[in-house]
Amino acid sequence: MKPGAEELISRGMLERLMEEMASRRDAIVEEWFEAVGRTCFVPLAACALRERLGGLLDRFVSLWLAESIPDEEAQRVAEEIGADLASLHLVNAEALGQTLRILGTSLPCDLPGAAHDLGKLHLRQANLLQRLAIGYYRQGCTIVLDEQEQIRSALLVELQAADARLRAAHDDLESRVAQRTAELAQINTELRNEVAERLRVEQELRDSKERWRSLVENAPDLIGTVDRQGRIRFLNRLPGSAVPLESVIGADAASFAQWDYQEDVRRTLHDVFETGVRVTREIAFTSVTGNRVWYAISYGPIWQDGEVVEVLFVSRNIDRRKKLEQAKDNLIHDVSHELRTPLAKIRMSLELLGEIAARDEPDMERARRLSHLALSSVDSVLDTLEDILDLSRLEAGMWSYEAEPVGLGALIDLVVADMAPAAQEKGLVLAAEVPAALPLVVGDRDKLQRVLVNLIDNAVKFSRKGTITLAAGTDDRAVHVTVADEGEGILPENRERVFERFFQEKKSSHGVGIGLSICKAIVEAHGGKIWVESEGRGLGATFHAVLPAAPEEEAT
Amino acid sequence: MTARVMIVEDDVELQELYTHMLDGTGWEIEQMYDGTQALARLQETVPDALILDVVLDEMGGDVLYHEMRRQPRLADLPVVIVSVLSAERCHTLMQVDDKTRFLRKPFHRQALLEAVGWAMGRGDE
Repeated sequence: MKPGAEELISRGMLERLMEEMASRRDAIVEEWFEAVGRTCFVPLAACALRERLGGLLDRFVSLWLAESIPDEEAQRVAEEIGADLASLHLVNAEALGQTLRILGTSLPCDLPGAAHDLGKLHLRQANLLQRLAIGYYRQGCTIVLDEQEQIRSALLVELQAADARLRAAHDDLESRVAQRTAELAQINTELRNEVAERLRVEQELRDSKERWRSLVENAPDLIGTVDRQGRIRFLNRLPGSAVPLESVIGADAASFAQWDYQEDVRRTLHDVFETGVRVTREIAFTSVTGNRVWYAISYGPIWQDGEVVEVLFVSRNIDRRKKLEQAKDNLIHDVSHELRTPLAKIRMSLELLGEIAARDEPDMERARRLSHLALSSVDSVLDTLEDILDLSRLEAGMWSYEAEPVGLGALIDLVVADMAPAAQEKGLVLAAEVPAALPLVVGDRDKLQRVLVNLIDNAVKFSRKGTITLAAGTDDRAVHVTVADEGEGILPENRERVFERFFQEKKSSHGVGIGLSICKAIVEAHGGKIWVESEGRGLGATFHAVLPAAPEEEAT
Repeated sequence: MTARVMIVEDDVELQELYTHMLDGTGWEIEQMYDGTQALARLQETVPDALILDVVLDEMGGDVLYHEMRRQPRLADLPVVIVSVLSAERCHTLMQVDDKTRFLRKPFHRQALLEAVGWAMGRGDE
């Protein structure tokens, strides 16, 4: 079958119609995709359909233009095109609906309708194409041009109407998106203000927390809290410990007290939880080094909803005060013991003296001996009393010092001569090794003499044999005096403590432990230093006192 | 045979006073100045009576006392404790038995003579 001129015209027109439809379709599909794409939601299904549709249309046109086309094939392709176009629109409509839901906007009522209509239009278009195809092949060139024009105009009108509806729906969508965006911007601003306010409050909280933390951490006292089970919940620090603070959290608070005070801690905590009444107790603790340390602990309730939830404790180290109290107690005991012994000697000597005196032929040698013993005991009582009075005056800051040039060499000779007989009586030798030329020192002669007397007294007390040597030397800037004995010596750990008030290395020691503290006070008041060296028990001790030498003009 | 008294006292002057007090009794006196020295001597010879001070260097009188009571040879040795401490304190410190008497310093010569005499008597039993 060979087509004639009429046929050619109509065929050409059909081709134009096809092209126009194709370009219109593409424009519509493009717009749809743009609308959907702007909302960032391009369903893959729609893309695939679009691809497929393009292919089918191309195939239909090529079939159309071919020399021969089977009816069935043309019909099937036309149906497929129609169906695919319809589902493309439906998918697009659905995608748009989803996008709008995401934006929180309800679906514009026109949009699904417009999509549906467009689908229907495409179906009709397909049917027409089908009809045209079939008609063409069955009847040759019987297609009337008018009819084609009619179909074309109708199609265009419908397409334009659908397009307008789609555009209106699209504009509506745009305005809704713009409105929603403005709303979101407003919310965003409010949110930003809220966040800024929260940050400011948080900073204030951090600042106040930091102030509180540094206050607690720098407090000289131990501060912490304990829960109802008696466990430590918080502690500001752990004094003198290498143990991490965290390891103490959750531990039984009472377990830190000395065993004989643990029950006291438990009972007090229980009472505060029950009554909510603040109390203060004095408790002994075992320090990390194992020593007994005294604390005054104030327990106070932490209330929450009318109930004591935790107990706050503030522990102040009262070890110094407590030890001083103990030292004072010891002093009273020691003083009474120390006075009782010489008084006993006096009492017994006098009784024996009385008995001797009552005899017809009194043993005068024994009487002399006993009276000497009584007198030296009286001196001992007086010395002890003097020491105690001196110490209390010293502590009250009532000592005044003369400032005169003193020759320590002569002073040493004097004291040694004075004390040698008493030492000799105990079987001890008192020796002086003083160089001929020794710089003077500026100070109080009587007080410096007191230092020497106390040091020799001390050496005599703790020696049973050997020599006590007083020596002096100088490097022109200072005078260095030593008192060395061959007595009992001093344990290394007590070398500093012997200068503490009331310290006694052994309970049987004579005296009340004041003499050396007085020496230290006097030497330091002269700008000097005093210390002791000892190799240990039984190996003797050497006391050193260094005093600054007087300036040249005063020395002359 | 002469009765023997051991005096354990670290104060030289008190040793002298006790010796004066016991003068004329005819008792032989041995002077010891601390617990260690006394315990060593007691291993060599046991006196008839012991005069014992409590507060002593090296070994205290209380320690010496308990050590003596643990040794069969010295368990029955009569002891006269002399101390400036109160009787009460000495008793809590030492828990003395009935072979022990206590004198608080200072004491009369007569009291010492009686106590040591009592100790001698017990030794004779």
